Amino acid sequence: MSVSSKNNNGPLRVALIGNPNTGKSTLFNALAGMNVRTGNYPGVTVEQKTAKLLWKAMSVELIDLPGTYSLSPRSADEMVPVNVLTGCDGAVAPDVVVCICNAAALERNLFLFTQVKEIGRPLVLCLNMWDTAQQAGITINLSELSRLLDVPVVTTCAVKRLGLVELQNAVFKAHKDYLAQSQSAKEPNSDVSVALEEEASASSAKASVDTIMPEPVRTVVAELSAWLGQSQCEPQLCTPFLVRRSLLDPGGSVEQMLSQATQGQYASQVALARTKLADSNIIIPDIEATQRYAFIKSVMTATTSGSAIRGRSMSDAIDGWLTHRIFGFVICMAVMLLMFSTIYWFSQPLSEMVENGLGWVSDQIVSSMSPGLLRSLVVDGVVAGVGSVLVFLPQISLLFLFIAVLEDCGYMARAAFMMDRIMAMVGLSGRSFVPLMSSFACAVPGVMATRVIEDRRDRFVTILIAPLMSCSARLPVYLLMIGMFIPDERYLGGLLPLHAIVLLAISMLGLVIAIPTAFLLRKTFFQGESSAFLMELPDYRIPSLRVTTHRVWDSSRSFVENAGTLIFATTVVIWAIGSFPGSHTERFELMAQIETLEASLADPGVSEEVAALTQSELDSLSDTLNQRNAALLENSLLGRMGHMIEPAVSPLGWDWRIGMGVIASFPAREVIIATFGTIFSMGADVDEEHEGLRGALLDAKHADGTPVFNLPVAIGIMVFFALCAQCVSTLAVIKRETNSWRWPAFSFLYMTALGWMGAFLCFQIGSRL
Amino acid sequence: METLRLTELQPGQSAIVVGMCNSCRLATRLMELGVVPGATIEVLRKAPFGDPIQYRICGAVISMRSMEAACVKVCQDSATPAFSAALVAG
Repeated sequence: MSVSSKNNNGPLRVALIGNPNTGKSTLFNALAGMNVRTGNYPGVTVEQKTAKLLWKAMSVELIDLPGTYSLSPRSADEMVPVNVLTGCDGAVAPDVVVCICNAAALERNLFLFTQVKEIGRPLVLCLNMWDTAQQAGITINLSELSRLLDVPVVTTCAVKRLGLVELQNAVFKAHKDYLAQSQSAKEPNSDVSVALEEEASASSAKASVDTIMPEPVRTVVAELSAWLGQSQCEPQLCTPFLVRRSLLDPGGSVEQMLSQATQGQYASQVALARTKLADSNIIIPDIEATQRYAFIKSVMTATTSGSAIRGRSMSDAIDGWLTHRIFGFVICMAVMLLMFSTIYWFSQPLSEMVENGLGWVSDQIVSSMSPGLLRSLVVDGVVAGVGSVLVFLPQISLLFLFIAVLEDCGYMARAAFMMDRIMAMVGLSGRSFVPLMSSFACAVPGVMATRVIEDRRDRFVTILIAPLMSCSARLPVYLLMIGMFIPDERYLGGLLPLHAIVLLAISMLGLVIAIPTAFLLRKTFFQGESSAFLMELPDYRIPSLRVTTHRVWDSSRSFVENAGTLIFATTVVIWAIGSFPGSHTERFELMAQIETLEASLADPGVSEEVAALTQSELDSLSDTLNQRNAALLENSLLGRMGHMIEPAVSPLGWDWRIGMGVIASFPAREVIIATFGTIFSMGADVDEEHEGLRGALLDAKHADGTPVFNLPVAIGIMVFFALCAQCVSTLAVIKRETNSWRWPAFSFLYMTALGWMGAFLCFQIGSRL
Repeated sequence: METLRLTELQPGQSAIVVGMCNSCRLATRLMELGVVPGATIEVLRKAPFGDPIQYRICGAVISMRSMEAACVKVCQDSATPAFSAALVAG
């Protein structure tokens, strides 16, 4: 094999591969501890998890490959395991491959193993969930299995951290044996001739793991390998493994890769080979699964007895209730309700603690620094930026705690199973249900939760419509506008306030718009037949504490590291364009005076008369400061941008101040309240209940004297915020999850267009009524 | 021997896979999961709206939509379909 061997100085590279639901990630985490590094494989949306470790003073790099049922890639994402294992496309092939199988479902799991075996890298077969298999009464003759499959076999129980040392030893031994073997081969022949010999010698032996494919297939593979060897193709592509994959997966990624490498000539060679095989009654691709499963069956018969029926029957009984026509839905709704109320009840105080903590830090800075640009930068830029990242952490970690528990215990797959029919109506699958539900709390964790969706197109459509779900950050805007402009009427004897109806309607708007949006996205950017929904339903099991904490930790860290920096940067940028250009000298002098007066007021010895005098002086100074701030904001870059976009927002009935507020709310939607506070000279410390702010908004006039805010404008603003992607955190997370700037840009543009159109219709129709 | 579509079976029934119709775009994926000629497949239950459906195949439980399941041809006779046996001999 021509796979590039490791240089002697680098770490020993060990790759883990296996089916989904084999406990592979648990095993990876158990081996890696806290050294996990997550990233993305270049150019695709597949998460790359690696860990640099020391095993008995030996430096090891552990690579966790995405869970897969086969090595038959049909997309760039699915190509990742093949590239990593074979060292194609810039990857360096691992020194040892560990194939992880669920011992309780060995038959299905061995399919992937037989494919991995054909790569020819040093290999260890790891039977995980060994305890579950034993409890279920399955016995496996390990030495016979090892002999028949020609591979060292170890058993582990990753959840209980059993068998890890044995696995490490097996990896070292496999590596040592491989090195010894390659040294004993004195004169290395050319790769293809070795391959040819291998294929030839294998053909004479009786059926073993290396001769699963019938003789005609092996001959064809050898011929194609020889043909490739003579072409101008890179040597690492000319392996029998890749040739076999290209032959057996018509239209698959490997065939495309080899065809590209040979300027399309290979495609006709393969087509010819397939016709030849069809003449000998060998039908591709059917032959692969049939032969492999026939071989696996013979191995299973010789090595395994007992079956997992006991464990399954329990899972089956639970399924009877959890996916029941009526109880299933009741339980599902109860689980969702529990999830949301927990997130609501626990993340609210936690987020408040974060805010209070940062408020305390701001206060310390304010009291230790005199008013000035640096203090303004630190307090309004840096601390606010850190705050806008940290404030998401409680809900992200809580949501992922729930998702990890639901996924790990097996319920998530059942929820997807039950909801699939509903989601299929808009061209999605049941897997999109939980991420979309989560987006009602906040699109940031919702978008991150789309990782549970395996189908790439489904995942992207879900990511793109998730920000349309009404998140909690829109609530302050809704409450301000509803409180000001919607009459406080009550129906049904006071039980049903109009405010609540409007709030519900505006919260549902995004969901209603999401349905045709998803449908259109499916018809345009993510064309193709509706996604298939082929999903394994793993056995129920008690979730492991270690696995769940790992997932919560991983997701929180990845949010802070990747999206957090961008959110932070945007907050600082918005601070800067809201502050410059402009002379802040007078403002800081006013602030210094106010702070001195406040300090003197706080003195308990001050007499009532003096206090009253100081207070009135303080009030007039505050008014001057608020007016000064408003003027500064109007003349800042942000204010000028507001003026600049006024022509674009005037069809919505907006003036430059609303336009500016929308720009300023980019770091977080609720910031628009504080911006209104500043520009309407109320100070930035206002909330949606602030009477002064409400009065100032009602008094605001256009240049021609007509009021800025009226019912159609207010509804327009709500509709705009319901539909726009005015949230840098969401866009940053979309960038992180799709690994490209294209999709956040697309989300922003299409949602802003939707919001604009909505607000336009509200204003134009509303003002004519 | 009568061949049925997989969707014609009711929950609780099991049958033997005969093959898949040519138009099935998931044929390869299904076969990777063990839906190969000769394998026993059991219908476990339908989702609340009747779709998708849970099956037990190859020691694991999978769920697929009836659109895909309709492509799987099965027979309830216990005899192994002849042509798969021929392939194994290869």
